[in-house]
Amino acid sequence: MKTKFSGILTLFLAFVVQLTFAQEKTISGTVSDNSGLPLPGATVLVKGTSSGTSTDFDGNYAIKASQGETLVFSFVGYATKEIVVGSSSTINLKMEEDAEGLDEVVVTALGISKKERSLGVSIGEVDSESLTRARSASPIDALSGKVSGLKITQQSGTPGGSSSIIIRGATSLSGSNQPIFVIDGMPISNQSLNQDGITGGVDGGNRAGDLNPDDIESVSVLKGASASALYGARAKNGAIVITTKRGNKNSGLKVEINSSLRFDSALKLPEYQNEYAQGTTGTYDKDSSNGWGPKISDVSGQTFTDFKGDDVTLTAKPNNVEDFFETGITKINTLALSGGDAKSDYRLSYTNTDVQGIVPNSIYKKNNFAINAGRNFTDKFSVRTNVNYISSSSNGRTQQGSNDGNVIIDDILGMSRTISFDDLKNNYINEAGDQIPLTERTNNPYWVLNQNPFSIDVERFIGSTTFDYKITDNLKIVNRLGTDFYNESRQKKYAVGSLGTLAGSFTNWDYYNQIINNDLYLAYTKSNTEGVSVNAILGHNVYQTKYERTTLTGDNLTVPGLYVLGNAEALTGTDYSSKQELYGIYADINLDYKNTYFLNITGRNDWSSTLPADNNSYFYPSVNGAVVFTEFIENKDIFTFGKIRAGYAEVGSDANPYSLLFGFIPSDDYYVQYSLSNSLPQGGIIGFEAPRVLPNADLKPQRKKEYELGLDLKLFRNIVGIGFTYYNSDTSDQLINIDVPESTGFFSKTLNAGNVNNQGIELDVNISPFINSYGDFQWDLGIVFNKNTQKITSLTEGLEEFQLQSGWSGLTIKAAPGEEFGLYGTKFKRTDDGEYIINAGTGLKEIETGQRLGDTAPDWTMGINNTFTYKNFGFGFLIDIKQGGTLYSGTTAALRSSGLAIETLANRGETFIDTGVNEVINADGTVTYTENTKSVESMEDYWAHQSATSNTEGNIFDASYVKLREVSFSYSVPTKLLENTGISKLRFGVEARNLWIIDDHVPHIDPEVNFFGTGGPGATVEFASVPSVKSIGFNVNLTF
Amino acid sequence: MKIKNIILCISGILLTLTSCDSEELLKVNEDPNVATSIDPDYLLGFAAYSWTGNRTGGDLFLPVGWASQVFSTGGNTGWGYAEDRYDISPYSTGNTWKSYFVSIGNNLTIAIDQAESAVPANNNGAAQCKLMLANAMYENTMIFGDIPYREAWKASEFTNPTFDSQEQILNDLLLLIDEAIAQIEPNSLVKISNNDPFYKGDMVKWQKYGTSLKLKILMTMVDKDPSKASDIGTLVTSSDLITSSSDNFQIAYYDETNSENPKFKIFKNYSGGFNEWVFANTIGFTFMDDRSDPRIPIYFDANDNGDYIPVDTATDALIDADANLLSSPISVDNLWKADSPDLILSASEIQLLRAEVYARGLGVTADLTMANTIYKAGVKESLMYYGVSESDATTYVNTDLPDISTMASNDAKKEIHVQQWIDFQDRTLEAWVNWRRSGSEGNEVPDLQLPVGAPAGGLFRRYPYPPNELSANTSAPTVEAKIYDNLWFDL
Repeated sequence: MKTKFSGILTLFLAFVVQLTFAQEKTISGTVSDNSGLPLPGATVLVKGTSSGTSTDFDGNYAIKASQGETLVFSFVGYATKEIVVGSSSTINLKMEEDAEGLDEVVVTALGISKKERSLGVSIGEVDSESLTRARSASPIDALSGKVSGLKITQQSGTPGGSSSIIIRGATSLSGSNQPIFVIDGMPISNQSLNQDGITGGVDGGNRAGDLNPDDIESVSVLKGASASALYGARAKNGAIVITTKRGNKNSGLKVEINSSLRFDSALKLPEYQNEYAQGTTGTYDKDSSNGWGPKISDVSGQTFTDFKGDDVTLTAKPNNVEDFFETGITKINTLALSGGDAKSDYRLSYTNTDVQGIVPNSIYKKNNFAINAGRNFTDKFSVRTNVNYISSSSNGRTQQGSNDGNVIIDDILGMSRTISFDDLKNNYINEAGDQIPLTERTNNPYWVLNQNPFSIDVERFIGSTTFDYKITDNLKIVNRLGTDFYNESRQKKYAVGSLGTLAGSFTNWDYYNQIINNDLYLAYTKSNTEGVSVNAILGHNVYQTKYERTTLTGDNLTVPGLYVLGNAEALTGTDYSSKQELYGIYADINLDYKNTYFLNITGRNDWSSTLPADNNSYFYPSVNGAVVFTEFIENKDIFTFGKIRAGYAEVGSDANPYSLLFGFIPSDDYYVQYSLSNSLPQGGIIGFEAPRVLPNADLKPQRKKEYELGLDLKLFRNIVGIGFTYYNSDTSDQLINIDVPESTGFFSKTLNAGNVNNQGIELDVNISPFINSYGDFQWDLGIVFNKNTQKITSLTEGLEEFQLQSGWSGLTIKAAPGEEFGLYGTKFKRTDDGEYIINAGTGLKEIETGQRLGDTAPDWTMGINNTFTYKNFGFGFLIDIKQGGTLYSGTTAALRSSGLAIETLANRGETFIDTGVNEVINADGTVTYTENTKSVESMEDYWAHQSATSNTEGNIFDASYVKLREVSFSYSVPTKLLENTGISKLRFGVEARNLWIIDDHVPHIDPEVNFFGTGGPGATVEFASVPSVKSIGFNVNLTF
Repeated sequence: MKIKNIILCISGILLTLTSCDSEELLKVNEDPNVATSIDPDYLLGFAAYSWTGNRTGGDLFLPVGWASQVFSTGGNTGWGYAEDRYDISPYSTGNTWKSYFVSIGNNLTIAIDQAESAVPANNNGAAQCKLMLANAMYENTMIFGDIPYREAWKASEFTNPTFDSQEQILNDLLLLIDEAIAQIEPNSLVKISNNDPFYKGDMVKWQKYGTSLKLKILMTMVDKDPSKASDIGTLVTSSDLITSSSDNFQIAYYDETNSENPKFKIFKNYSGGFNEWVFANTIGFTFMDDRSDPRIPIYFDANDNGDYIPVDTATDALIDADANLLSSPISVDNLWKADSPDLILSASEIQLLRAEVYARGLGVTADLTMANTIYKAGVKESLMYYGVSESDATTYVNTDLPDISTMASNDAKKEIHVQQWIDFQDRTLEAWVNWRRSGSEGNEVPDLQLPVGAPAGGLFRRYPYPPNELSANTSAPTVEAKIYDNLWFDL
């Protein structure tokens, strides 16, 4: 490592060369852009001489020149300007943008701005306007359809729920595929915890959702390994780099108020039959919440016992499920104060988000406080501090999955057609206060809603301070120290009298998560008159994470309704803590020749605490470059701008803490089926156990290698913009736990194995037909497209499949060599000709277990974004398309097998013969097939088999969709109407999110869902998930 | 310049403070959540309760009880209708396998190593763990047949443990028991005592348990391997057998939250403490009713009319017009109390085995008089264990219990098997094992019939292998084991 380090240092120092200039009068000043922001790296030349300089980080320059000589100011993307030196020795210049140039600046790794023109890799950029056009409570959802290569999946309709982002396809066989989030240079946590998993876990949200979209100035998406090499292992899945808004220097107090009020309703609800009551084989049964009972019209004169024990006549309640869901209300209110003097700027903001979900009693409240303030203490020394404090609380988070008495969504969506929710609501307890359950083993949903709400509270602080000191005009030293820590408290309750937990119980989870990050770096910038400019960074990074969890369960409550530890007859507790540290040294060198040739070289060496001594230091390099070929074309009317680019990068990453050594775990319980596990110690007997995962002391870093090639074009004087990228990545030596035979004494062992290849294309097309007309009407059409192909090129020897995630009843997500990540489960048996094999005895399809059923990831995704402006009116809409992928719907399985879905009406009471063949085994052992003539016993039997949870194939669907994701309409009140009101800007808007599923292939549910959460390979599996919501609302934006 | 110097100094300090030292980094990775070494006592504690958790829970006790027709589900009325008809969940087979190999086997194997390598060596502790391991693996092979044994729990050496034949495993277990008994040092204070949930370190009792376990295993083998008879003949007269309930090998549960016997807890958590789901099976009930067995009101609850009505296998329980149960559930007030222990090896069981040895003349001369005496002692021990008073028990065995000394040898044997079935009404695994060894196929006691709705093929004789082991272990059998396949010992 020492050799590598000194090599980098030597290279870096080689560029620290002082240029000498002719001796005359010194002219100085500041070069800025249209909006007054300083332009670093602008070139200043004395015309006709070789004398020149470039502006520093703050746009300042100083040059010797004689009176009467001409100074030539140039900067990429701006029109070159010439000024004759007069008597004054100060020349400040505002440069005008050049229509043909690519002027945008993007924020890259470490929060460093680079000219987009110079980038050798693809970086997605989203500005504040498009993030808040149709405001989302979460900044992640707001990115949907706006950046190519990004797949965003909202996990459920839970208020404050989570969203998954996968950039350029899932690469990891274990753990998270989520990118790192960086806010103003500080890497923050995007943890998503789901302690109960598929058995009654809640969608607890992911921590990036805490951020306030209103505070965001811009979001850069660093997609590839080369773009994120400087963040190291943390950015192996890409990076979302967020820059928050600042106040302007030399401006008075600006007050901005932004208010939204939105109404939410379920986007898509199941379609029900309304002809049959609950029961089995046509006979009413009050304890079967389904639709296989008598035909309602056939029993109109009869009475039946309902859930309350009352004798009632049966009538269909076609809208019962729709009536259960309430109109959700989302209120987002922001107050921001900003301003600054000559040396300082500040922005303070407060945002209150208040969401009342569509499930009764579900609420989510979030308060964001943010400060972003900077001050230049001297010409050389400046400090900037960013502070975010976030406090959120939610109550009534819906528990999802199965095997938990508090899971009610399946009961709600699967409500018998003759039960009204009003009846359940008004009769969930009797006079004595005891529960009136829905059936003998199912809680009344209103009992759970009223008595057993799941709550989550989060208190979070994110803060960083950057010290910036200019050693010379070209060299500065920067230190950015930051922390992100939060406490999260969760409580799950079972009131006394809840079925499954009659004596009452509660569990408290307390989490503490902390990140400390420090970056110390030297930054060097220099240009010379030959057109060579150098930007280089040499840095050191310390990154530490800590995680603590305490779980306490109190069982058997003495006083009902009191959830304190002292009220529980028995307490069991567990705790866990972990810590890991990472040290890194990195260098980033950018060379620019005549604004035409660009080269970027980076290198990083990490030392990780989680790897063994022999393997804990690892180096990884990246190189990328670009050539602006339109510099060689005179006429820019057609090819206004063109660039080809290429990059190669590697990223190394470390293991989870404590994966190396064997240790004995104190046992707090022992397993008993049906959630009957008992606690230890018991009767004074203490238990310790060996680990279930066999540790491995020889782990080495995982490695990702990626190359990308790209082309950026601006055609017809910027009317058409095209960005195209091809990428190809290999993620090898993955750190995974593979299943071992349990007869070895272990469930699995940790090792380095496997390689996942992802390759694909990204296309960004922007068309602005009226960009050069400067008229009242503007139209911008933006299209982003990504096609990713994933392939597992190898696992470990002898391993044919690797389980990534496990559901139940045989549903699993697996990786197999030669394939993409796939959904596996039970499949209906077919002949070689593809005909279903039907059991000749039952008339039902034969099945085979453990079969591949489809790819989890989509074939391609696309976003189509339209914005129209006419005078003070604005209108925009975004269409989000996902094509391909396989979805499992637990809700459809349940609705069909229980005879509630509308399609189960077909053939009821009639003879139904399923299409297929019977297998005949002949005397000589050969197999032949004959057409099936055996009818099913009943449609109840047919659907119970066809859509059984365990018959996975019966419940999988094409996950494709076309969605109208955002619609917005705005009107800005003309400035002259605001004269003398003190108001400088007033805008009214109508905004809508997730308004319409234009096309999909899944009955009864929104195909954008995943109840596994954000931690895994990003499958689409639905099981008793809260329906997603559509929102329509109003927005007022007011600035004083 | 002043600020510049300060900045450079601070930067220098920051770099120095945060420099990385490999030693320091490795320290960060020391796991604060685990112990790097542990006494065998605590590994035994966890293994013991994991074992009983499976033995009494929904992965073994209930499915085996239903599938082997020890009790009834009550069909649609009850719980476990699937298992009644041999639909054993892969979770049950998987959890049972995990329990024996991971929770019990691996921890006991490590505990044995720890005990033997301790200074001074904890020979008693090693013996305690070996005897437990022998019993657990005996159960494991009774459930799954051929399983990994010799290559199990050697993860670094054997990544795909081979499946040994049941015969070899049982013979190995006999050797393991001999080894353990030889290792016992009754007078040594070095042993697992406080954390021993069975005998609190009473090594004399452990020795009796070892000897009894050996007899139990030999009795399982003898029909297939008649050469075992001589060992049985030697053992049957041993004074080291468990013949008094005070020496029973059992583990305690408590009437305290999260320490209850799972047989009780399932009703506590799911039905308010009332059993409406698991019923007396007609087969066992009829044996008891025919013999006026005083355990009937202990095992079962009468209905509101005071009648005991059993339920046939895989048949709906009876309910009256007011939805009151007429059929008799297993009693949660007596048999399945919160603090009922899990009885793993009992005096009544050993006495009935001894009676069988004399009745059949296994390694001894057949002696029905001797058999009758021991048979009575066994039944009496069972009656008293389940709460019948000593005087009532004595009266019952002397007046109501059939005298087997006057019976034909085969009838006497059958009558002993009937008592074993009754004795094992709350020990479904033992009942199932004993039924399979009670006679050749078709001649078992009781004479079970294929339940209505069960797949054709035959009666329930084994658990299929769990899918996880089959997919992860390249040495696993490739031919699918069927639920009706006979294991080696099962003629």
